[in-house]
Amino acid sequence: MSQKQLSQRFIKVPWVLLLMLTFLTGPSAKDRVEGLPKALLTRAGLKFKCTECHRHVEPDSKSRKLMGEHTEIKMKHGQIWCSACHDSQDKTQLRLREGKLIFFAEVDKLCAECHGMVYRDWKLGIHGKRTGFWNGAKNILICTKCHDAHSPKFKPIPPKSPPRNRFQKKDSKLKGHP
Amino acid sequence: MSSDKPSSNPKSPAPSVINRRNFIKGVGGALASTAALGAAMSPAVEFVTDITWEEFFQQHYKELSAQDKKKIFERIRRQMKEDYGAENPSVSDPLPLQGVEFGYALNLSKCIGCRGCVQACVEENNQDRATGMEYIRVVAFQKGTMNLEESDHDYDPALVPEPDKVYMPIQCHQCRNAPCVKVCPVEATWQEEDGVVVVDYDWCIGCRYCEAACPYWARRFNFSKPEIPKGEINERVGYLSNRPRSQGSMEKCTFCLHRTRKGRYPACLEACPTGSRKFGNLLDPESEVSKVIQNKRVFVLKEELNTQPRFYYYFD
Repeated sequence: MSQKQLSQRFIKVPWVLLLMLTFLTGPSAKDRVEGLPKALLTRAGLKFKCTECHRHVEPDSKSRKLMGEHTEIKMKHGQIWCSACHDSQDKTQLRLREGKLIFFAEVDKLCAECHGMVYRDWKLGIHGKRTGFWNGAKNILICTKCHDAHSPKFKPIPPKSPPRNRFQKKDSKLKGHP
Repeated sequence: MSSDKPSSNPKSPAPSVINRRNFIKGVGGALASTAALGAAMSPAVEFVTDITWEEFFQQHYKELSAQDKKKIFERIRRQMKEDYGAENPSVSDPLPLQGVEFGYALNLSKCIGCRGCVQACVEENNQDRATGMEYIRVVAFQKGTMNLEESDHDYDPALVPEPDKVYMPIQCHQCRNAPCVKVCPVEATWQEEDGVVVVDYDWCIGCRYCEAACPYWARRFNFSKPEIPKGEINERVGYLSNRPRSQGSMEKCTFCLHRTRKGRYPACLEACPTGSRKFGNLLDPESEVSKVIQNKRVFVLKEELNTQPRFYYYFD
């Protein structure tokens, strides 16, 4: 056990450096990844690090109704609960299945553990929105930019107005032959 | 008859002689024919009021020299300022890129039918707001069906997607075997090297044959001069794409060639909130659209017509 802890501590430093390096360079040097979540909570204009509270809180891996804090979170993501993704000790980081801790900026690696096919498509540029240049620098959106991790299905939105024919006035409700 | 008689007879003068009766007859006839001619020509006269002489005698786009283009672009800039209150318009005609053939792919599983693409297209391409012209038409199918005859263009629920609907945006498919190009009697529309079917709006005679020939209903006609409210005009225009059109000309989606030939994505793609739209170079196996074709089950609309579109639909 102590062997493992030691090895974890040993590998942590270069690993963090590596992560920061990959984050800085991104998937491709010229592309920009947008929508990285912050491990910060804003309350009354002040920013708290998650650990400010969570070091006093005993982790509870059971599914339950949240009281007091985080009441805005409505879990609608399969059967999973907080600790499926968040590390139960260090709430500023996420936790892969194998036990590796990752920053929020690398959330795609965590999503990929369940959604492998979607991840493959995202890497290929088939899944997800991209803006910028089709033959140059792209603005790539990371999973959590579009999907709420706690309730990933897209919420319905109001559609833009239906087409008019050329005889219809702008606010007319008449429908029919296009 | 009268010519047999001697001309000295004062009772029957020669027809060429101008007397009061003939004079009145002649003036009346002349007036009537002038009025008739005027009436017959009035639509044409009304029609050409906003076309300048230089526009009328302008050559086909393919025959324009660099000098001509410079002059024409300056004219378009001036017109945009005068007619639409543009402040600093820029006109260009980006040429097809070497080794590029544009292709589009659209994910029907992801499209939610919000018509965001439609609106972005109208704003980007300076389409007529008065008649509500739109290049993209989103149709809704009942889930489990894909019958265009029964599709709904006018759906307007409070929220989309509705649980029992599938949505399919339809726009110009930039066919390899384009029927619209074949029917044009004056070669005002043609296919460029990157696959985009374009229209020379000044060469178009407005016969609308192409509109009838297109099986995707992708072409639109300007029944009147397009109206664009002040401040809403997109000032960065391309000669073959989104420059303001004149009355009586056809127009269509050009894959936003004024953007895409400069490397950018089309406006509809960037507006899509779900990332359903994928665009790129079909000749590049690493492009997004090629990856879709390699990895997904794609289909084209109305394949049986052999139009060979460059617009692919897929589910996943």
